Amino acid sequence: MREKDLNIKIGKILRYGVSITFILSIIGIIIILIISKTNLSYNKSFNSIYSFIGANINHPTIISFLFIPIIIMIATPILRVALSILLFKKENNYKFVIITSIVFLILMFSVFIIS
Amino acid sequence: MLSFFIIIILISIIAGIIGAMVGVGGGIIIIPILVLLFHIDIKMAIGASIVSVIATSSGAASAYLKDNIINLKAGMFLEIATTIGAISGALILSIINPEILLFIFPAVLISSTYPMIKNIKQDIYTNIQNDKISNYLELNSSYYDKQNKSEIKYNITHTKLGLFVMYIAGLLSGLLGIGSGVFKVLAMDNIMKMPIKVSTTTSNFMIGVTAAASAVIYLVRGYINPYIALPVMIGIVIGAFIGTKILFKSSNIYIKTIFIIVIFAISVEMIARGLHIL
Repeated sequence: MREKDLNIKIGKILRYGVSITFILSIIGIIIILIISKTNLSYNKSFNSIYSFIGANINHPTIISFLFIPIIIMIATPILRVALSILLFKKENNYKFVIITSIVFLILMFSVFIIS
Repeated sequence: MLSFFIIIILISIIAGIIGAMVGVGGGIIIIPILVLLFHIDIKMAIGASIVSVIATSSGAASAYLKDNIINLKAGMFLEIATTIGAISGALILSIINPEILLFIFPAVLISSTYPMIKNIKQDIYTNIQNDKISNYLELNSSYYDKQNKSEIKYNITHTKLGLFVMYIAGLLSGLLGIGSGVFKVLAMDNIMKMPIKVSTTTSNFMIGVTAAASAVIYLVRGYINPYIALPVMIGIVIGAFIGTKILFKSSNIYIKTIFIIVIFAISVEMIARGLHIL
């Protein structure tokens, strides 16, 4: 039964992440269609996320908004790993607290050191 | 612009359906369409593909977790190998020419379908004993198969070899941004002898974490364009939702057949990229 509880809780984290992303993505597309004059189009690359936001400094809040659903989507699995550590600890399953912590540390290493 | 969004959403729905069913991201469909149809730079196409992998993973896994089909413990344990693999891939990217891999891995992939084709009619592996690691971590589990209408118990074997293939899966996704899901499914089904539905759904659960690491790198470098990523995410979420519904009602043979087709498609795509057609 414990494993089922765990599945449901972790499933909920993912579902929240996906639902928020979905709604914000639709809002984002509506924004693109309304303003339609940004320095970017679908086939234009840009040097980095920073220069992109910098180049659209005239309406930074609107353009920056387009990245919010992307960031939430990417953060969802990382958050899932972090919360799994707490859930395993709550169940006193220390083998998996260690295993999940290792995964989390590797992820943090790649996010902060490599990128 | 509106027509571009509609096309991308529709393609992503198809990618989401297939991805959710066989445990892979939607890159296989999204990358060629973006590159060949819209002439988008391959790095930006891979950026969109990585986003689609995360969306498929989170969207499908949330449904599969609710139905207790994913082997959460096995997934979390194997993630150690895939994440280390992904980092190794990103680190050696500057040292080796990843294009050589585009010719080596299709051969590996296609030859690895042989045991699956041979055993395609075998529903579930029988007489499998847990090995030491899966005994220690209690990785064996069970799930309720809605199609068979029965509770299916299974053990897990060859965990060490499975970990090694998971490392290769991570390495590939770090190097090429493609193919990590198929290797995960092959490791769980062919090597660790997990049931195909558990393998594809657990792979779905895992690919999001593997992709998240590389996604941050692509985002910072400017390869994730919101004009592409937003419609991709919308389509994938819808598709993944439909795909999970289909998986529950599908037979194991059906899932295996689609998986084998996807392997061949991925192999062709890798070779096309190696030959610079993509």
